[in-house]
Amino acid sequence: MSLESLVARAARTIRRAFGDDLEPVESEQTKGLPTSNMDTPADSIESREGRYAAHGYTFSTKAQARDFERRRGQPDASSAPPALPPARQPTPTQPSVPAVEVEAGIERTGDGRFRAGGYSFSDLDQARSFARRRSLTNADRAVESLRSARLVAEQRLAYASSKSGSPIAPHQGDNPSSAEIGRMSLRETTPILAATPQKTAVGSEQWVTHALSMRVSDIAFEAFLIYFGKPKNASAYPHSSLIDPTLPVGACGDPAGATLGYWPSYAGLDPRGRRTYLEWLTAGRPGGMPIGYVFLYFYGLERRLIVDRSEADGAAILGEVRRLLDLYDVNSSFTRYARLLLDVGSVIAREDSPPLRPTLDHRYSFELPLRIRIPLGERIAAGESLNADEALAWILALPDTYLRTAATRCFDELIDLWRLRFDQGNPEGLKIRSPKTRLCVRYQAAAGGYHADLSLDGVPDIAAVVAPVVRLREQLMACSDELDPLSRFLGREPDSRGTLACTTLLPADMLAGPRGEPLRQARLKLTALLGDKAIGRATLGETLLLVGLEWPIGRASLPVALQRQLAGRLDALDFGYEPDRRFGPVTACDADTRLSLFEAPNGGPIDRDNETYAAARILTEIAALAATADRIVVAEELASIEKHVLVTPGLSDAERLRLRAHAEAILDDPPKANAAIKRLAALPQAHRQHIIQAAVAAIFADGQVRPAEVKFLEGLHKALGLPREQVYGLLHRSEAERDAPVIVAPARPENGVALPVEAPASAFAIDHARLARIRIETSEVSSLLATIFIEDASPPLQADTQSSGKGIFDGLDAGHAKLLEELVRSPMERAAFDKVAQALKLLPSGALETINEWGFDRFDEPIVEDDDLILVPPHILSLLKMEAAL
Amino acid sequence: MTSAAPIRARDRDTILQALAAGVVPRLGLQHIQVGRAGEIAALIRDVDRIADGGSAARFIIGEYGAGKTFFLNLVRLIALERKCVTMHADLAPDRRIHASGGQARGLYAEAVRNMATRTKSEGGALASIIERFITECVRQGEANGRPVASVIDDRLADLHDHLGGHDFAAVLKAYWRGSDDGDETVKAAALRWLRAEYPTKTEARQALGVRSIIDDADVYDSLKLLAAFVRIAGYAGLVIVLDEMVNLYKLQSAQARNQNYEQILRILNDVLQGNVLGVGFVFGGTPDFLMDSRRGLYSYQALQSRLVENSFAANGLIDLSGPIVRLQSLSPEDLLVLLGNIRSVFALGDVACHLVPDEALSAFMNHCNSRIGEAYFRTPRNTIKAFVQFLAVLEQNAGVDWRTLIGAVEVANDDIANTDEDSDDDELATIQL
Repeated sequence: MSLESLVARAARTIRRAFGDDLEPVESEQTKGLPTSNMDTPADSIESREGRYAAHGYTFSTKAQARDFERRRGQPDASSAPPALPPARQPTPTQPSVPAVEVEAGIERTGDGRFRAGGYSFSDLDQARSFARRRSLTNADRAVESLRSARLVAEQRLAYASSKSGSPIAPHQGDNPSSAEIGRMSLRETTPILAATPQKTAVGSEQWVTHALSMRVSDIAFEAFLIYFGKPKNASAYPHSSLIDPTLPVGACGDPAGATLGYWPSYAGLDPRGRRTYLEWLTAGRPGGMPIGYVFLYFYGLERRLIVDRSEADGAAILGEVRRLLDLYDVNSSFTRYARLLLDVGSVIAREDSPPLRPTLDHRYSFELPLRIRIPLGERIAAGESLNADEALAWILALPDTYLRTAATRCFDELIDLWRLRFDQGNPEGLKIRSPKTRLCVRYQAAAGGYHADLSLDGVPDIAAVVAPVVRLREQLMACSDELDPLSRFLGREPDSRGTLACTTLLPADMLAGPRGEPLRQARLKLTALLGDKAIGRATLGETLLLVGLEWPIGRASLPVALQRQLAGRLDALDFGYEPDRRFGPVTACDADTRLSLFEAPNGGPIDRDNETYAAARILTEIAALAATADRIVVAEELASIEKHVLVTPGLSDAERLRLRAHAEAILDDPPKANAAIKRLAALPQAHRQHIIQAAVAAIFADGQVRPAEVKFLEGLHKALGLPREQVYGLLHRSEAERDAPVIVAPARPENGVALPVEAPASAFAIDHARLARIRIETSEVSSLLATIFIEDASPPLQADTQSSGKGIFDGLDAGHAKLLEELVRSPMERAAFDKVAQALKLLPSGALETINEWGFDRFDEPIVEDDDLILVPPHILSLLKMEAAL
Repeated sequence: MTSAAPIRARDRDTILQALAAGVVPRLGLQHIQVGRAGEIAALIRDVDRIADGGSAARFIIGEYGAGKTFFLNLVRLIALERKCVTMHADLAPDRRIHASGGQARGLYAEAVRNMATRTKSEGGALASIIERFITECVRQGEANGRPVASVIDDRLADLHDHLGGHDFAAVLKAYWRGSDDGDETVKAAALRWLRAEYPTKTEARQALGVRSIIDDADVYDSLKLLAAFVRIAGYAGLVIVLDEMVNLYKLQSAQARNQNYEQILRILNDVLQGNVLGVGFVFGGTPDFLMDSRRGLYSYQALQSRLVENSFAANGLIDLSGPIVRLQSLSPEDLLVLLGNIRSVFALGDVACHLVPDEALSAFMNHCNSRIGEAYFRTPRNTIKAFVQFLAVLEQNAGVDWRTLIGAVEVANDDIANTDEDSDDDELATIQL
């Protein structure tokens, strides 16, 4: 049995059933196939290449062809499905016993088996069942196109823009509201027979819109949204949900659904199944039934909506389907059909579609759902661009979008992140070029046997758009990857959603939104810790608590994994800390280790291999060691370190801040001197002097140099290979130049374009302020000294007034005056002088001393030169001569 | 440069001669001293206190070339001007404050040899002081009709309180006897004893009849004795200047070093507690002598606590009342002022007579810089010497343009003087905080 013939046949059937105004549904498969002609003469069997062709099929024998021809000639209009030729003929070797047709489409073959649809069965029931089911399949025919496409497009666009509530509002009074449905579903305990049987005449089939008391066999029941009544003459469509009151109902039910077949129909139900079905209907169609009953009911709703195209019942039906979907969403098959019906139904019922929300519901759909395609198509048609939610909904609903665990586990976060990323990448929204393809969807009925095509000429089909999909999907995957850490964490600790731990794992730019709240709380605490300072101090234990971590019980030092977590969280909180093992060696990590916390975007990451930073860090350590050498740390020492380290050129602000924090931290907890000094060995020579300077400055910061500090400096010099003696000079100079300008960095020759040779005048620079200061000081000292050295330069006149007339040289006693007089008369040899002195009872040296002392007082200088020849210098001699009147 | 007083031609020559010879001028220092007003004022107060019968001790700490010697000389001259007697000696391997092998005696002898008064400022004033004292005693004796010996005894009665005071008086009496008898041998022996040049007691007894000599252990006591004596002899006080203290720091034996430091501690204690009258000690040394944690003064805990700087004098505040006075090396600015002062000395303080204009000073410094290098201003001795010569040439050869001459000036590097310092001093000079 070929598919082509079936399709062609279905098409014909539809045309016949709905008349000429129907739009012929012609699938791709039917085009170009030879159309079978009902009026083909019996002898139309052609012989072609040794085979016999009939109705487009070839047979190996003419008998087969004729048999086929004969069977094709049976009237199609009968409700009974046409007997199809068997796919495989009985083998020609079998004895040819004529087959007797027992029922329509079932014949009894010579070997006592029953043949139906080309298959052979051992008993009649089997064959009958098969034939019936085949007939359903074969009758898969298309319902007319659901709407004039133009009309739909116009209307949808109209009410999409008007936003004036539901377009089906007027019908709501007539239909059971969804509340009523809900109420009825609660009535499942109501005994079926208790309902007042309102006798209704068994009429031909009709649609029951409102709750109506009905009686089937001995069961009186009340139901609505069903087809009820005797089947009309065989319908073109299978009417599987029609409740035919003439059919028997079993005495007991089949709540387990054991008697249900795959495509249930009321007529085909076991009588026990019918009872259960009717009871279920009466009970208000609660949940928990075997899905076959639900489908049976669903077929009716579907038929009413698709085949009867009842706009009036649309809202009620959709409401009911949604209710059922809630109850039976565990069944994926039902879910799929129900959704499809909802999508198509909402078009028919002219329901305004709810705003698009990204959802995971369409993950396993086979095609892009209508509920996505229509609104998106309309937006494209209107020339509008898609916003983040629409784009995400689109991508998520694409059948070939496969999500990773992170995306499904953290779907809410994914949506938020997507919005962020999408808006970053498409600030204007996503503009999509309208595809040529218009929206055209085939609705394949769940009941089987028919389908309907929905085509909206005014709506471009977004399913035909492929260009942006790859990019969007990549973006989605990137978002998913970004959420991976969070997802893994949630996988381990599902209850931790919304905690600080989770928040820190979110991508940084999501934290500005409400999801960052725990983080902001933690930040508040940390900021409070900082106070108004740039750097706050807290112990490691306290910090752990602040970021929502706990100290592992029984551990003396913090395990590396926890250190990493701590670092990660502080990074997320935009806080940096020191000592941080990521940016340099760390000595201790116990609960009492005091951390320096400071605000820095993303934890203030720096490149620890940056030579300048590394040097500055060692510098800090050394300076801290120097400052702690006397076991007392004062604020000035810290300030000095900062002053020295932070002016290092080439440091970024982040590095500076980190160094400051580092300095504070290591002042509390100094590194092992040996370790720090060992690291010095790796430093380039240029940095060494700088280090020494920083250390000296740190030592001087408190204004005192203690022996321990000197010792440290000596050790430092030794470690750096610098002469020890340099220490004292440095200390000495620092002592007085504390207020002098500080050399912040040694001048280093730079490679590059040579500067023009400078004039030698600039070889030294004179500090004019200092020069002025020195000049003032010099004149001060000059006058100070002048008072000492010249104060006794008294004029001779003064001496005269004081003279008492004792001798010629006023102030000298007689002996010395006499001696001086002798000297003034003529210079003397030493021996002669001694003699004269002795004669005057004077000791020669003492006499000279006395005379000179007198001379000093008088003339401000010695008046006798004590040499081999003792004499009075000429300029004094004249004065003395005058005085002595010699 | 403005000078408080005009410069006398005599002073000018003395100053210039000394500077040209590379030594500190004997007088006129007020004309060339640059800066350091605070330090000098502090030392002047010290000297005044000593002259008033008080006591003082100072450590002048400065690097090589910082002008320690100049400063010490200045202090000495101030002291002389204040009618004090000064003694000065440089410490050396064979001259220490405390020793057992005669080194302390050597230091004492050196200091006594350098004993100076205002009239004999270049030293050798011991005999003058003694004779002046004895002359007075003789006169007193004549006036009162008493034997000179008993007058001497009376005057020196105070000295008997001091250790060795009795022998000291005996030696002075011997000196008088010698001069009275014209016995030069006795006089010489007495001076020899006072100069601590008798190696054994036997010799001293034979020559002077005293039972003791001034030995290594008695140096400090003898200094105190001398201080008391010069006050009796009519001087204001005694200022003892000990330079090159770094030689103590260089002592290899920890024991020897500590014994010396103990002596310093004793001196400090006496001075700070006021146990001694009219005596002052000024020590000159380098920073390592002070600060070396193993061998410096600070290694001696008791000294460290006494010497440690005033902790309130940080951040630019200055306290010069402590025993440590730090001298900073000269800066280019200091040197510029100094050159200006020298120029002024040449011109006898008359601005109109300046031999060279201001730019010549800068040019000269540039020249030195190019010849010696950056450290030229830290060890100014040769720079100054060259500048004095430079000006002298200009003065004597009117019409020579300073610009042409400046290139010809030879400035010697101060390497020779450097040898007794640590060899890395020049490296040091390049570091500045």
